[in-house]
Parts: sequence; structure tokens; C-alpha cells
Amino acid sequence: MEYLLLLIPILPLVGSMINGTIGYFIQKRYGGEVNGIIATSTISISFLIAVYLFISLLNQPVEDRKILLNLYNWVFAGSLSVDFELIMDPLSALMVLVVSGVGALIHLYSIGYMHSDKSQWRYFSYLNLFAFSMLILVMADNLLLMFVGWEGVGLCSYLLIGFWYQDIDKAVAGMKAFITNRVGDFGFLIGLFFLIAGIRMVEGEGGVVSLSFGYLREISERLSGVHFGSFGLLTIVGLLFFVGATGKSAQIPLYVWLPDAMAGPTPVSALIHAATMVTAGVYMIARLNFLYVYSPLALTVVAVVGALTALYAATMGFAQTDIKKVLAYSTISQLGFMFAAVGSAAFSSGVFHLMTHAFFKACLFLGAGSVIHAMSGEQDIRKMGGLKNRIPRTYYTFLIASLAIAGVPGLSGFFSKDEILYRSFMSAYGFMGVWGYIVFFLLIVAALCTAFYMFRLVFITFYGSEVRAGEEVVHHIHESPRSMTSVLIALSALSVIGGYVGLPEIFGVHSGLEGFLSPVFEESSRILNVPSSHTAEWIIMLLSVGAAVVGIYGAYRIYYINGYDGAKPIRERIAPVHYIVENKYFVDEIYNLVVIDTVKIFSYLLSQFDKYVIDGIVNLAGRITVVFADLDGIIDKYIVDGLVNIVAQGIKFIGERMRGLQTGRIQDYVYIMVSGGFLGLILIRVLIYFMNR
Amino acid sequence: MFFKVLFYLVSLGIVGLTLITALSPNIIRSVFSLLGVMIGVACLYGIMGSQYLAVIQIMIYVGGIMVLFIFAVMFTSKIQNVEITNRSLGKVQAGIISLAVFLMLVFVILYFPFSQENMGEHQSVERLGKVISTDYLPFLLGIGIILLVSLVGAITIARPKKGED
Amino acid sequence: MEITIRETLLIAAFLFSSGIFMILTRQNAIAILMGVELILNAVNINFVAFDRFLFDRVDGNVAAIINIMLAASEVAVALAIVICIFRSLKTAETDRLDSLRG
Repeated sequence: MEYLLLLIPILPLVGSMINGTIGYFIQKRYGGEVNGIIATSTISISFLIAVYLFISLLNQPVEDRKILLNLYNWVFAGSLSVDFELIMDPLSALMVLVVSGVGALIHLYSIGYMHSDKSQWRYFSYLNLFAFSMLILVMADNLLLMFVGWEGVGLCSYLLIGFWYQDIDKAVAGMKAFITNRVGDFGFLIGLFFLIAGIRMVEGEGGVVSLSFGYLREISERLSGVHFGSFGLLTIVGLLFFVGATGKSAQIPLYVWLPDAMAGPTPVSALIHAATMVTAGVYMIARLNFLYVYSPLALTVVAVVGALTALYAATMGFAQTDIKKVLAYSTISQLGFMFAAVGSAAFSSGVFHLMTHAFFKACLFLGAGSVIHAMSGEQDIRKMGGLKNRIPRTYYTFLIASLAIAGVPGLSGFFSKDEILYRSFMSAYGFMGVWGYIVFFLLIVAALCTAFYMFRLVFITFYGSEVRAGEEVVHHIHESPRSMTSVLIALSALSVIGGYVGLPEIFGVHSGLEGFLSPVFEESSRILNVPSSHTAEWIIMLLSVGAAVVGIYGAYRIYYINGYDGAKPIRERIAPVHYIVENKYFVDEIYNLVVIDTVKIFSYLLSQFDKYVIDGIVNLAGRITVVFADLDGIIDKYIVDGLVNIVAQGIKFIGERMRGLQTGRIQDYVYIMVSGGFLGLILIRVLIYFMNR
Repeated sequence: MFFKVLFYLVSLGIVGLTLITALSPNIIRSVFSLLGVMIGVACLYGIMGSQYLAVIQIMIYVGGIMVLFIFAVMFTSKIQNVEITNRSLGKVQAGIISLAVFLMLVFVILYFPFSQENMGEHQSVERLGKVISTDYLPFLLGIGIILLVSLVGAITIARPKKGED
Repeated sequence: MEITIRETLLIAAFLFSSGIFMILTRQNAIAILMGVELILNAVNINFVAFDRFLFDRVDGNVAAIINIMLAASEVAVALAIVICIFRSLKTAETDRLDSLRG
């Protein structure tokens, strides 16, 4: 049965391979829908397997809820030993269900949405590949394998954002995502190195270093004693891993890629940048809860940054005019909520919100896609309006999801957000001290802003009597096909009922979700010892409802009563402020100046160095070689040839002198003969004389 | 005693005539003194007991060869005083080498231990004839052939060419 | 007193040297041939002297006779050549006979 575990990620991989190799031909022959069907079926089957495994987990007693599958020993380097091991425990089961379930719905939606695209085979191949990577990420039983999935989703994000790469802006957006992500990953890797170093210190020389979560949980207490200087190992590791999380999950300071990522197809935004990939950071911290609980400092940082991001991003929603951009900033903001949760050691709350957010954010994005589809590609909300009755299904699902995100009681968002608010407040009495209050305050205001900007969006987009676009576009407005609207309906339904798995205790029931996740988080929570208070819980619940109401009412007053441009007088009054907010606080421009221009200058310097110094050296070497060659030539010409010539001339000289002997006169020859003979005789006589001595 | 004196006289004559032959710039004088040398040598042969050889010498050398020389000189030379030395070899160098050779020979002659036991005083013609026709017959015949050949050769070489005067 | 071999041989040596001198020195071709004759004669004297004073044989005489014959034939041919040369070059100077030069 464990091998079913492997099937879950492998099926989408197979689908990706099929579409990647013969997908082009399938599309040409049978049409793009077939590619989509292949992709959707693989992930749907994965979902079904996940459901089956989930049920079998429930049938186990609480302590035993774990299925492991160890395929082989993957890395064996010195003392480091890492296996290719998959795990199905409550946390990963939840994640797999969300990823494969919402993922399957989005695959289905894509079939309709992308039906006129030329490269559907490529799209579905990438989408399946993403599913594979994400599933590996959440099912990995060790840090290294998880990192593989981590990188894989980053890659697929790049591929899918820049899907329409012929448009240079879209390609650049893809690059921005990948590079920003990479910066975060760098932090993650450094953290990993520290962790390994710390494990080695704890284990001693002969020990085997494993990175599996079970092993890490066991030695977490020992690791907490390791210090580098005055910093605890787990603090350093926790903070560095969080850097990676800010890149992947778009928190301050590495969130800048997410709004630009809207350049990709809308289903991509829904799946990757709302429901799954961006939640990887939250999942990671949740998974490593046993390490984080030993570093209150790291947790505080996580919570504060998360809360700041939540409020900061929410304010952007006030001034954005692109429907997808509003939702992008909303995602960043909601992710901030999740980080604030896990930073307050409320791990199950963070995961809970992750789940509900996946439902309503996906619904919102797909709904936006539906709107854009209806408006023939228009994304500017100032050019919309009056769509309420024209595309009713889209409108109602969108409305439901908006109510959920605003935190209206009864829907899923209310329960999850409320839990976060409560836990973050209570952490002030635990380990966070005053920071807990700050976090709570920031989150409350952010919740208010959330409600406000979401309904601003709703009112501007759907309300009004007239559609503020050209004749052509208005004429073309139509509801999306069944394949798309059915998904919207499904997701909106989940947005409603999804919260009831996590009912808070004050209603007299145990939170089902929390209980389910307890094997993963229980121990850690005990270590940190955050108190609970029913009173506080009721008060906070009231406060959050109040924030939602105020926010919705504010939007109503400005945008419903005064029409879509009702904010105009306010805008004019705070024109400079509005200008800053509208331009996203100029963060992109600042980054450009500070980071990118610096890098550009540096790379320019390097290129100049290369051009003049290195090429100069090479050219110099070349010229020196030429000089030597010339020298050799001269040597060859004068010395070598000279020697040859001297020999020849010497012989000629001797010959000419010798010529004189050949006078042609016999008498001279006779003379020589006689002399020679005479001397020869003398010589013989002398030799004989000496021989006889 | 008598022979000794005669010997010395003849020797003296030979030496003198030889000197004239070698050193005279006049070619005719040279030829004729050579003639005298031949006669002197013939006398020498007679003194030493080879009368037959002496006669042969006179007949062939003097009567044939020297006459031939005279004819040749008459035909070819301008009878005037031509310098005896040629351009490249001077008297000195030739003199040195000749002197060297002479001295070497003298050295050998004087210091070689000749044993004069078997003195062949009587070298009669009969003995000569007997030896030459038995032991040295091939040479005799060969000589005949050589003479014939050289005769033919000389005529051929010296013959005036066709169309020539 | 008897005539000694040494004296005879000395005469022959003298003739020999003079013959060499003549060959090396004279620039008339015929004079050169005369030098050759001197040498041949010197050799003949040697032969006869050895016969007379050293051995009781006549072989030396035979050699001398043959020598004379050879000299005769050789002179005949040589002078024929000289005459021939004289015809074409109009001179008998050996200095001019240097076509083998170089």
C-alpha cells in the first residue's frame, strides 16, 4: 500500500512527459482539449488516491497516523545519508488533498479557459510538472527532497508565468519571479548548511547525518543547545529558512515578483500563486515546527514580518485598477496572515487558513478569469461594471468567495482568520511579549482593509447599470462555459463549508482539524506553552466581525452609493498619499535602483575588465607570440639559413681554391705525384723504423 | 784498373751531358746532348760486360729513338731560346723535389748492405739468348706485338686528316 | 780496384733525378719526353748493375732489352701525339695544353 504514495506524484509526472513529448501532435490531431483531459485525469486520480489514503489514515489510531515509503538511498556522501522517502502523515495528507483537489479543479477550468491557445500541450505539460513538484514538496520526508520540490515549483512558476514568452514583458515577469525566488533560496541553502553543521556537532565525528523530519524531530532538543557565538543554531537556521520562505511565499522583502506574475494565464495565477506554491513557505515552517519552537526569536520575526506584510499588501489593494493585481496583493496579504499564525506557534491555524485561502482565492482568481474572458481580455476594472446580471454565475461565486475572505461569519474565512487573530493575541502572554500585541493590531487593521478592498473590487467590477466599455466588448459579454463555471461553483461551495472542520472550542466542539493535525504539532505547542482564554476568544471574535462589517460598509458607502469612481473626492484630498500607494510605494523602483542598478554597474565593470584587461592580456599574449614568431623567422632566415649558406659557401670557397690544383697541366700533376710518392716512401721508412724499435 | 778509369771517365761524360740536357734552353742542344748520354750509357753497358746490350742500345736508342726526337723537334719547335721553366712550376720547386729524390736514393745506395759475392762477370750472348727464348719467350713475343701496335698507332695518330693539308 | 755497384747505382740515381727535373721543369713537350728517356735509361743501368754485381744471371739484361723496346714504341706513339697537337695548336708548349683545367 505504501507504493500508492509514489503514485501520487508520479502520475502527474507521467502526464507531463506525455504532453511534453507527443503533446504537440496530439493537439494538432485531436485538439487541445485532449491534452487537457490527459493532464486533468492524472491529477484527479492522484486526488482519489490521496482521499483513499486519507481515509485509511483516519482508520488508524492517532499515534499511528503515518505511512512511510522509502524507495532508495539517494545521497550517500561522507557522513550525509539522504533517502528518497515519501511520507503521508496528517499534515502532508492535508496538503496533498488541497494541492491535488484544487489542482484538479483548476486543470479542468484550464481546458475551457485555454481552448484557443496555440500551445496548450506545453501549458498542460508545465501544469502537470508543477503538480508533480508540489506533491514531492509536501510528501517529502526529508529536507533535501523537499528542497527538490521547492526548486521544481520555482522552475514551473517561471515556465508558466512566462508562458506567452513572445511578449517580452511577460518573459521578463517570469525572470523576475525566478530570480527573486533564487535570492530566497540562497538564504534557504545557507540555513541548510548551518543545520548540517549543527547536526554534525551534535552527532560527533562518526555519526550519520540524516535530514529526515523524524530524525530532526528527535534531535531537535539537542540541537537547541548548539550555539554559534551568541546566536542559537536554531535561531539562525529558522531565520535563514524564513528568508527562503519570503522568496517563495512573497513576503517582505521578496514579494515583488507576485504582482508581475499576473502576466501568466489566470488559471496559473489561481493554482500557483494563490493555492499552492506560495503556501510552500508556510508548509515548510509548519513542517519544521519542532525546530522553530526552540527559537522564540525566529518565531517572533516570522510573525512580525508576516503581519507587516499583511497590512502593507492590503493597503495596495485600495489603489490598484487591474483585477488580477488586486487579487495578487490580496494573496500576499493573506499569506502574511498565515505567517503571522505560524510565527505565533499556531501551526494548525496557519495550515487551516492555508486550506480555506486555497478555496476562496482560487475561486476569486478563476472568477476573475471568467470576467476577463467575458470582457474579451479586459482587465482594468474601471472599464467594467454592470456585470452582475450579465454573468450571474461568475458574480455569485465571486461574491461568496469575497464574503469568505472578508471574514464574514459562517463562511470558511471567518473561522480560520479568527483563529489566527486569537492565537496571535494570546502569544503576547506566551513567548512574544509586546510583539504579540503589535502583531495582533496589525492583523486586525489588515482584516479591515481586506474586507474593504475586496468589496471595492466587487462593487466596481459588477455593480452599476452600465458596462463602461466599448460597443464591441459589451456586445460580446457572455457567461463562461460549463467547464469553467462548474469549477467556480465547486470552489465557492468549499469556501462556505470548508471552515467547519476547524470550529473553535468555544462552541463546545473540538476543532476537528486541530485534532487531526495534533500528531504533528502537539509536542511543539506544549514546549511553548501559550495560554488560552475563552474570554479573549469571544472578544476577539467580535472585533474581527466588526472589522469585516466596517470594511464592507466603507466600500459600500464609497463605491456603491457614489458609483464606481466614488473615491474620487477622497483621492483628490490625499492626492500625494494616493499617488504613492497607487505606485506600490515605489518599491520596485527602489529595488531597481538599489539592487539591480548596482548589479548592472558591477557587471558593466566586469565586462569592461574583461574587455580591456583580460582581452588585453590575451591580445598581448597574441602579439608577443607574433613577435616571437617574427624573431623565429629572423633566426631561421639569418642564423639557420645562414649556417646552411656558410657551409655551402665554405665548400664553394674550398672548391674554388682547390680548383687551382687542377691546372690541366700534366707537369703539375707529375710534380704532385712525385712529391707524394717521395713523402710516402719517407713515411713508410719512418714507420718501419718505429715498428722495429 | 783500366776499367775503373774508363768507368769514371764515361761517368763524368754522362753527368756532364745530362746536365746540359736538363738545363739547356736550346732544345736542339738538349736533344743532341741526350744523344751523347745514350752513347755514354752504351759504353757503360760495355764496361759492365753486357756487350750485346750496348749494341742494342746504340742501335735502337741512338739510331732510332734519338733520330725520331730530332725529327720531332725539327717539325715542331721554333728554334729559338724558349724559357725552360713553365709558369707555375719554377726551377726551385722542381729542383727541390729532384734533389730530395736524389738524396734519398743516395742514402739508400750508400747504406744498403750489398753483398758482392756472386759477380756475374761473364754475361755472354749465348746465355742471354737462351734465357730470352725460353724463360721470357712470352715477353719476347709480346714485345713484337707491342711494337707492331705502336707502329700502327703512331701512323694513325700522325696521319693528316681528310681535307687537311 | 773494381768498380763497385754503388758507383754504378749512383750514376743511375743521378740520371733518374735529372729526368724528374726535366719532366717537372721543361715546357716543351718533347723535352718532357726526353726526361722520360733519361729515367728509362737510369732504370736500365740499374737492371744491368744488379745483374753484373749481385747475381750470376742474365735476367736483368733481358729486362733491359725489353725496356728498350717498350721505350721505343712509347716514344713513337708519344711523338705522334705531339705532332698532332702541334698541328692543331701550332705550338708545343705545355702551358697551353690545359684543357683539363678546372
